[in-house]
Amino acid sequence: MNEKNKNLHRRAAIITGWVFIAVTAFFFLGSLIARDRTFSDKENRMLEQAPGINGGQIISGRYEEKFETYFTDQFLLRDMWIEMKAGFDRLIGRVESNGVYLGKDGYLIEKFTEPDGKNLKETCSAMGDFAKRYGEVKQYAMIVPNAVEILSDKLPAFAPAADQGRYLDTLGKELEEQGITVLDMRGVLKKNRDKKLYYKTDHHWTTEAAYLAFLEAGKTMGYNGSEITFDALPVTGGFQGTLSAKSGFRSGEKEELEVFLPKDGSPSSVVNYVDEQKKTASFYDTGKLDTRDGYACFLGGNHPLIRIETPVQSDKTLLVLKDSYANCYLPFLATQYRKIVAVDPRYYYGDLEELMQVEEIQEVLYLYNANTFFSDTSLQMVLRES
Amino acid sequence: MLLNSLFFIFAFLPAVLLIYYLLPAAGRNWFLLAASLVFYAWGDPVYLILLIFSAVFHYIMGLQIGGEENDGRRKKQDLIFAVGVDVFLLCFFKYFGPAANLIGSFFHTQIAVRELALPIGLSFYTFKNLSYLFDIYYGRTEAEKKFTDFAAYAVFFPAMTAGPIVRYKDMKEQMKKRRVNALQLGYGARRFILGLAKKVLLADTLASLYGEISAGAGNISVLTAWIGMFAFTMEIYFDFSGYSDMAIGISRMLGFTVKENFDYPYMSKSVTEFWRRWHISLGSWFRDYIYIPLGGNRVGTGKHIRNILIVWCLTGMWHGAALNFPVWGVYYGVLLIAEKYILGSRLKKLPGWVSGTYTMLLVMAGWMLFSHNSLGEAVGYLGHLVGIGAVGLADTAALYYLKTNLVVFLLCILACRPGFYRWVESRFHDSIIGSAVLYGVLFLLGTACLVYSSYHPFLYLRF
Repeated sequence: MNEKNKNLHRRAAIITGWVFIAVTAFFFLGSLIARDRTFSDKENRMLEQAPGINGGQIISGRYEEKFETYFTDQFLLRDMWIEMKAGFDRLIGRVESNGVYLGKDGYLIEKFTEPDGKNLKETCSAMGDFAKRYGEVKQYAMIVPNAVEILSDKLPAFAPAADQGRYLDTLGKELEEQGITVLDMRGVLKKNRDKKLYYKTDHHWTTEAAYLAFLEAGKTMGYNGSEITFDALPVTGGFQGTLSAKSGFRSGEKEELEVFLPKDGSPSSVVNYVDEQKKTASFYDTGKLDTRDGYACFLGGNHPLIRIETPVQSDKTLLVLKDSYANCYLPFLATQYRKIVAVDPRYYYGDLEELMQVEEIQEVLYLYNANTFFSDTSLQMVLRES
Repeated sequence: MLLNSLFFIFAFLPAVLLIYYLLPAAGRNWFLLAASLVFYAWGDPVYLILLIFSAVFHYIMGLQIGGEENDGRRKKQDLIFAVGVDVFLLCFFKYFGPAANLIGSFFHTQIAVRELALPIGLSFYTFKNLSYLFDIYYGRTEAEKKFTDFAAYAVFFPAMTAGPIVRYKDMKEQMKKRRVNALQLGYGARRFILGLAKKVLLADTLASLYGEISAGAGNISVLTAWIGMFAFTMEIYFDFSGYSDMAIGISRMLGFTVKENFDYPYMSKSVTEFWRRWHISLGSWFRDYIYIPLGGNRVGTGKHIRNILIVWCLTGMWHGAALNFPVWGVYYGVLLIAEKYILGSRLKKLPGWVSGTYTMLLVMAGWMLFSHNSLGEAVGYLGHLVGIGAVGLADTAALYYLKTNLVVFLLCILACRPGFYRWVESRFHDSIIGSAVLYGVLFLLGTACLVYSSYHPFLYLRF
């Protein structure tokens, strides 16, 4: 190496060293000086705050742990770093993050993991017992397949996703044996794959998919859904689903969210959020559109118990045991039943049998998406004989 | 504290370096000692007592053994006493929990013991401090009289948590006098960034891949099993050597030259060579303080084989308390004996790629013994590699893993080879901009990974 090169070599190293010190010191001081944030919009959680000095916690190491979390949570430009890493992952060809696949055509698709067989059996037998106890009440189950099943062609190449269809087949047979009528939506959804059935950035089905399911279910449940026509009304173009937050993929992506309103302009239903002691004349809470969980504009999110009185000329009453997939579906059902009582077992602690009596329930509908249903443990608790 | 934590890199390290550089040379060892104690106490303050005890104990024993130059018997007694204390402490913390469980299982009961957390770095600093006593005993170095100089070595923070196991004879001069300047800072910073990149960009990425594959190991194809084994092989190398690089880099920034701990082990042409290149500071520790004192290879064949097996059984046990670690050690002992007495000369005649492949296959199989929690699982996994219990030869999952990790795999294969680093040096080290860009990008990406690892989006109302 000649003298000039050697000098250059040394200077390059020296400068790298000083830059290293400068960068580390900059972020150290920057993180100290910058105002602590209390909440991260990106992650939707409270960020750790400076822990108070506590002798006992210092000795146990708890203080140091908290302090490191605090330091990391308040690290300068935290959100930028997270996006940089997500970008790097995409650059090197990674298409999965936090159980979410970055699928084709911009679809974020949640992985399906094989259900715990024992838990699933318990749920099925609880549903069977309930069906036997209320033999005169007609019972239906609509377990809606997820995007991973219906849009499997949109999964990244070779993605190893468990076969949801296989589990739905087994479940269908099991429930029929227990005396529950299964409403299998796979056929109608697959046939309409050219329509937008699932949000690209969220794990829910679209209102359009719910409408298709509503029409299809009518054939079995004994109504003709197409008697009423609906107007599809886009209520926002800025919907950002939770899957993009969960995965970090496509974090700037916004999409459209529609509601379907009946054309005839008939008087509206009265929606009673029983636990919240709140009554409204609308299924929609457009105020929620600007929040992180935009899908909550349907019925204002999940509630333990909702009682819907409709203007329908009929005396049919329906109990829906549901998850959030039902939230955009109930407005359709409200055109067919005089009264709908919707229970979300994950939040409901009341007595279901008493509810059946008091509300004079004539039909029961289980409405879940497959991912939630297969991992749910709360339904069997609610169904148990008191 | 871990070297690969944001708090270390962006708070502890710059603060320590700045104060260290501003201090006069005479105060630096004191400061280093204090900084190392803070480093250790951070998160594990209780075991700080153990660390301080170890430093004081070895300092005193060093003076004791060093002062008995003429009395061979007393020297030996003191050494044995010190070894006894250290072995007791190591065994106590490593085997107390497992032993209680084992005894309990004999009597079909559960003995309620408070699970003792293994003090961080115990295996490393105990071995380091023991090497000091051995070297005094064998006359390779003198006992240090100045407590600060010894204690600053004994608790030296860069090598505290995961080595290298630095010898005092290599550090003695440097404890008194070392070059602290901008050039050392630059070289050290480069090395640190390189190590960080190896650890978080390569090893941590592969860790999640191997985790996923081994979690579903009951239901994988032959190809997936091979991908998993490859991933772990690369993970452990880049994890460990990356950590060593970080330790060596920080030492350099502080003005110390620490011996290399890895020498491109995956380029080896025999298992014997692999162990000369892998975790060098541990291998040479066992060689110098166990193998050679037992007689090494200057004894009859039977004794030689015994010596090898003792050393490798201990090497395995050093890595962990579970049964698969000594088995993993003995596996290597047997391979080394086979190479020594049967295969050695034949291996040399083979073309390089054949002996290289032979070595890597055995090393990778070894890692499967190492990585599983029980022998049964390890053997089951090894079976999958040849089709026993596997689901077909290849499936789409295997293609998915290959496709989505291709870039990382290629980088790993490159980064195992010395030529890659030579290329990097010739291309980037002689240019101010090139050097700044390369290390700047690596450092930014490494930091991004560290921040991202704390990314826990909270999804209320999941459904």
